[in-house]
This record gives sequence, structure tokens and C-alpha cells, in this order.
Amino acid sequence: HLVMCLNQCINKARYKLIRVFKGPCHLEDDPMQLVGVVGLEIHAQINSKTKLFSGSQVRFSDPPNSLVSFFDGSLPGTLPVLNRRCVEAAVMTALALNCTINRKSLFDRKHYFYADLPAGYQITQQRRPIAVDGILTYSLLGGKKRNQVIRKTANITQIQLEQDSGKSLHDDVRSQTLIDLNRAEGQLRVDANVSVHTPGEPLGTRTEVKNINSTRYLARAIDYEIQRQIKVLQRGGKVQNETRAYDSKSGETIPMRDKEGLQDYRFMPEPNLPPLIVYEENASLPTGIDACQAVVVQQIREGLPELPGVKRDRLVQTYGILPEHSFTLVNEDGLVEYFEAVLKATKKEPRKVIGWVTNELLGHLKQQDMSVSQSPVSPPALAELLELQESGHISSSVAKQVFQEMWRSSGSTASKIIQEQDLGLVSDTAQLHSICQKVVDSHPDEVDAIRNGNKKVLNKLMGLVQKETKGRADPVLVREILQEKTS
Amino acid sequence: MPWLVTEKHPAFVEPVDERRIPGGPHHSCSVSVQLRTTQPKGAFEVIECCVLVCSLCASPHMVVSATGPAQIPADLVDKLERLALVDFRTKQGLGCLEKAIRFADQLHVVDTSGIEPMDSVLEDRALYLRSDAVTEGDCAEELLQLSKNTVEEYFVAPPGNIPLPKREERAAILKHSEF
Repeated sequence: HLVMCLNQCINKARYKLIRVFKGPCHLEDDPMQLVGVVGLEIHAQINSKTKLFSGSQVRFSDPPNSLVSFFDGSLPGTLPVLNRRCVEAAVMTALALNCTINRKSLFDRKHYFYADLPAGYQITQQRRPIAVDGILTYSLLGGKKRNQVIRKTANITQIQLEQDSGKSLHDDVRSQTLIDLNRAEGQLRVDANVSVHTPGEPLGTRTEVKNINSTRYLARAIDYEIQRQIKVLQRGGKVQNETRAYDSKSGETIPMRDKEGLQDYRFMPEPNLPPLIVYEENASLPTGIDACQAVVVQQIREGLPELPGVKRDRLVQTYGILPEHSFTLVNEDGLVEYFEAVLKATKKEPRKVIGWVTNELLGHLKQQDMSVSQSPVSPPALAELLELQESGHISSSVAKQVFQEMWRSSGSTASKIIQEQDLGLVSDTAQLHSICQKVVDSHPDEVDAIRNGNKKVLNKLMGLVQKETKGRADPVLVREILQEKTS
Repeated sequence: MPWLVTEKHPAFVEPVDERRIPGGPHHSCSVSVQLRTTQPKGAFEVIECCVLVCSLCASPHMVVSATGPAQIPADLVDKLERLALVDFRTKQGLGCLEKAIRFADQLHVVDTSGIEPMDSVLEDRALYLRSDAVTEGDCAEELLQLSKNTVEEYFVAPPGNIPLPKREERAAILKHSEF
């Protein structure tokens, strides 16, 4: 089950996901057959210009407290004013995740004391969030060669809009904490809720694991916690309902010192905010309502971009590429557009082009930590190179060489480089014949082997010819000639 | 009988206990009322109440159980103190707490069956949606002036959350205070 909370932190969107991991048990003698159950609470920052409840700017790396309004500083007499853009973002997310949107949702206060929460509470949507009951279908590559597409689903419990706290900098030396109320760090944060149980039996006590700073650590933290809980139960102990912090250095989770038993957040309705209403379509708008005061789901639905899963399927269908390639294309910003632009400019089959895009181009980009938009080789330039290869002007290995050269001297075209460095395929039969003859004459043993039936030795002779021609010999022709000469 | 029962709480249908209630501010007479005690909820006995209207002066009087002070367990007091960060463990403090609970019990008089709870008086208002444009901020100096302790445009707070000392330790700390 996936639960998502949209959290706006000094404006953030927060998604809470709960996912069931039915993993195999790692310990051999396990009569309890315990499996882990995992819930993820994901906090994602909404991409908006201002904060959730105030008109202060949302920006990174500004001087501390420079983007803080009186409301953000929790000064008495200030009131929250909801940002329309955040509501739209929440609805968009809900639609992308197939949730049911609550026409009416409510805001609550969640109380706890911490220095970076000056009000003493955060405004959230605990009772009735903006969206519930979604589903996310995703694919991953599995199988022995990691090229099998495995489809999985995860249920989303809810999406809620939520304020977040400020940023705390702990100064252990001077025993103090420095508070910056601009925003909390991290555009995406995940907390994991982990428990173990025997399938079929009720769920076990869960712990909350915080301080997970990357997706790689997420998997490790969860694995560790599942194993830790299994060991506790196998020893005859009980899992405590507590909050634990993940320590990436040791790979362990440790209890957090500030948490004393179960937190009582004393949830209460936010008295300063009426219920949030979203409308299904324009027809359901009350008469006389100002358009900028209404969030209409249908409008947002129409404005949704093509979702990644849909895009991947479309690419596979349209171009006949492998699913694993579709993942690579969709996961890199701008790569699909690049790929499609190359296809427009060349007659070469998509299946033959894809390798160049996912290996040569992407490989070079990654090496220099560049984005697709920064590529020194443009789609038309790559298309020209591929055309030259396709039409037999250069061999495949030379094509790769030329690509490197094009990369290094950005702006230089394939044909120019081929001409300058004389990399064109040698198809002059007379010349090839004489080179082949030379090789055949100087390798009588190999020729004998071929005549006796070991055809593979021909490849060695081919290699020698290519060496002579610096890789510029047309391999098809060379093979023909050699076969003739060794028959 | 000078008292007229105008609103009856369902609990009174099966009275279990009988109490003598001293008269309200308008009368010196006392009245016998049968009250029902509900199941104890946690530390507190939730006693149902009713409003009795005096037939002499027609003024309503609240009747609440007079079974004596609720026994609030030390653990719960401890928890409340941690949640509110307020020390109220004195006889006076606990008495005040109990009175507050009794006062809140008046809510039970109202029959709310079949009625949707109201959690905001703004429930019929339209929630105003602000457009996503920058209109405030950029007042760090003003805000920082409000804090006693600042360091290079940061507010300064004590390190993390200082855990409250355990109950016994707190009792020792308070022993010599005027509270």
C-alpha cells in the first residue's frame, strides 16, 4: 500500500507511500517465516514560487531568514493564506497517481515542540486529505540479464498538503542550534515505517526510520530494520514502537534520543482555514464564482503531460525498441526528443539508432556529467554520421572514432572529419586485393587451417587486413576476397 | 418539587446513582437527582449531566455529578505536563485541572445524535486561494531584532530538544520552588 502525503514546506509537497515488501527470509531456520511490511512517507517539495501559506519566496541558498514573512516567523496575529498553485500541484499529483480526489478536504494542526517550528504546530491534512486511494503501476527490469520487464503496483493511501518546519543547524561545540526559517532542506525526503509479521497474521509493531538521505540508503535502511526486527522476535523479544535514525556509516538504525514513547500530536482542526473545495468540472462551479478562486479538476486533467509509463509503452510500440531502452530514454531529460530528432533526419531503423543514443551519446554525457541539452553533437550531426555509416562510406568502428572526434571538436561535422582524416572506407578492390594477397602470402599456416575447415581463422586474417588499412577496409569486401583467396 | 427537568440526557433513563445536589445561586433548597455513572474512561469518570430548570425562577442550573475529585493517575499528569510543558502537579494545579474537566463535561448535556460535528465556524465560508506571486519576506533584520539571541542572521535555540527530566527528578527540582 502506498500512502502519499503532499507536504508544503515553508512549502513542500509530501507524499506518503506505504509499500508491501514480501521479501524472502534471509535467515535459514525461521519457523516464524517473517516477512517485512514497509510504509513509505515521502515528502516532496512543490514547485511553486511562494510558500504554502505565505507570499514569501521559495528559493535555495538565500541568506538565512531572508525569505521569511511575519507568518513564517509565527508572529501573533498572522494568518495562513493558501497558495492556489499548491492546490493545483496536489490535484495534478493525485491524478497522475490515480487517486480519488476529495471534493472537500480539511486542514488540521499537529502539535509538537521543536525550535525550528516556532508556532509549536504544523498545519497538515490529517483527517481528510485532498486525495486518497491511489495506485501506482511501475516497471522494473529483472531476470537474469536484467532485461525482463516486471510490472508491479503499489497502493497509495493518501496525498496531503502540509507545512514543513525550518532548518536547524546543530552547533555541538557551542551547544546551540541555529535556526533558519527559510525552508527545511531537501526537495525529496523519505521516512520508512517498517514492521514484520507472519503472512496471514496481524501486522507487527512498526518503527519509523528517519534520516534516510538517498534512495540507495533507503533500501539498505529498510533491509537492516527488517532483519533487526526479525532477530528481536526470534530472540523472544518485542519490537518497540519507536522512531529510529538511519546511520549511513554503520548501515544500522539507532533509536532517536528525543522520542519518548508514542508522540501525542493533539490534532485539532485548523480554526483559521475553512474547508478546501475543488470542483470536478466547470459545470459544477457555483454561479458568480471568480475563476481564480476555483480549482477545477477537469482542467488540470487536460493539462497533464504524458506520464512516463505511457511514454515508455508508446516508444516501444512506435519504434520497436526494447523495453529496457525505453527506460533509459525516459529517465534522461531530453533524450526522447533527441532520439526522435535523429530518427527524423535518417533513414536508419530506430532499432539501429537506439544503441548510438543510449550507449555512445549517453555514455559520453555521463562521463562528463553533462545533460542532453549540453551535448556537443546535435541530432542532425549524429544523423549525418549514421547515414554515412549506413551507406557504406565508413565502417562501424570508424564511425565510433568519428563520433569521438565530433564530440571533442564540437561543431565539426562527420563528413568533414572523415575527409580530413581520410577515414573513408577503402572500397578500391584492386588495393584491397593486393593487401589481402600480402596477408595471405605471409600467413601460410592460417591459410592451411582455413582450407582444412577451420573457418574461424579467417577472422584473424581479416583483423590483419584491417590493421593494414587502419580499419578502413570494407569488411564485407575483405571477407569475400579472403574467402576467395583461401578457398 | 421546585426543579423541572427540561432536557434529559439518555443516561438518565436508567439511573444508577442518587445524589443530593445543593441548590443553585437562586435557591437554597437542595434537590435529589438520580444520575447515572458511565464507564470510567481512563482516569476520569465521565458523568452524564443534565440541565434542570427551576420552576420558581425559570433559570437553568447545571447538574453535574458530585462524586468527588477524579483520580488522575500520576502517569497521565506526567504526560500532560510533557505535552503542554506546564508544571501543575500541586494540589492547586490538580484541583484546577479537575474543575476544568468538570466544566468541559457540560458539553455532554447537548444531544448531538445525528448531527455532523462543526469543527470550524468558517465552514460555510469559501477558502480564499492566493495567487502564486511573491508579496512578502525580505525582513530578516526586523525579525531577528525580536530574538534575544542571534548569530549571523540565525535565530539561536538550545541544542535539540532537551528531554524533560524524569518525574522523580522534577519533583526534587520543584520541592524547593515557590510552586
